[in-house]
Amino acid sequence: MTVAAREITLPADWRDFWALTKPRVMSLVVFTALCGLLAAPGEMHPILAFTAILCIATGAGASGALNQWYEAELDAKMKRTAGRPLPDGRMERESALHFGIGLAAFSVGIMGVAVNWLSAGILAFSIFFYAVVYTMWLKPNTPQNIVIGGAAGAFPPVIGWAAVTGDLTLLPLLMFAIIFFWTPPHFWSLALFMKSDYGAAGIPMLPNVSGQRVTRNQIFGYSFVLAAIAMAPWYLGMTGAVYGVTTVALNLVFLGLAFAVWRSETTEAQMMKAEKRLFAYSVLYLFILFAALAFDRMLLV
Amino acid sequence: MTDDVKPAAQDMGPQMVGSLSVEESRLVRSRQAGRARAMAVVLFGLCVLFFAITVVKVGVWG
Repeated sequence: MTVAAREITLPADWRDFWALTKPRVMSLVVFTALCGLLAAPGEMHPILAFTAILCIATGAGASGALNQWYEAELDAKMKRTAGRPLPDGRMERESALHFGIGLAAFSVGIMGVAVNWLSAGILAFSIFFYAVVYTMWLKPNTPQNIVIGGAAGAFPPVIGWAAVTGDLTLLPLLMFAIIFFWTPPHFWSLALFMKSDYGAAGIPMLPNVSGQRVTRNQIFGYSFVLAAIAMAPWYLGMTGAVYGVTTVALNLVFLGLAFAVWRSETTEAQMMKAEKRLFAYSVLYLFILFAALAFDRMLLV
Repeated sequence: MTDDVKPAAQDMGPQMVGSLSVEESRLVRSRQAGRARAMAVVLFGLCVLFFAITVVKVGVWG
């Protein structure tokens, strides 16, 4: 007799709890937060800096767990997410909720006590924004979900900056804007070749609601806004030549790939090479851009 | 009984009521042990971190 045949409830494995935190998303969050922290003027004790990054990572994990708790039924309908612990039946839904709330409370509390309450407040708001505003409200209701919801992913460098300085200036807001305007081309290029998956789950992504042509136009348009915002720290004199050269090169390639997506008329997901290329490049783009910004600021400061 | 019908534990016969097979028992124990080990690592790490934060905050390390 197999284990499954008697429907016994097995305790979830620790790896399932780890998977709830969306570790790959967390790595990008940790990286951008670290860049915000390094770019900020002033000094921070390495132990407190480590604590701040740990709290930001834990907060991102809390957001991921609460997102998966709420979207368990939706995730079961999509190939990309059907193997997650909840839709796969490896964990009770309530455990994910308790885990998410516990992580959120821990991350905000420790951030407030050990670092400062401004960064803790922004962290709390970013968890609320992702779990409630984006997951529960925007995502199931509007094709602009990832445009407004992109703000949730844009908070980490701001939190990193606030952890060091205890206040906010124009540069962390520009870092926020870079991620905010990077999100639409990044997610819509994914949505183009995952259209059927999102459609099966009934999520109103732009390609499903307004069609591929509109999505391609929007990707191309947002890429120009992104390029302008990404170059702003340089032409406003907040960074030096290292960031300037890097941002110009990265954005020229981004615009070239976005142009290929805009020109493409492919409707078959398997044939969407330009869209897959832009999606993959956009991740690399953000890593290199933020690394250059942090490095440049460290040289200047 | 067909393969796709999953009977409840009490339908499997009196020898299965309130008990797990050896294979199930081993699986449950291995998961419990894994979670306990993971929790121990996390708690130990937090103890070290809280101690370090306290030392930094009271100014011993400047």
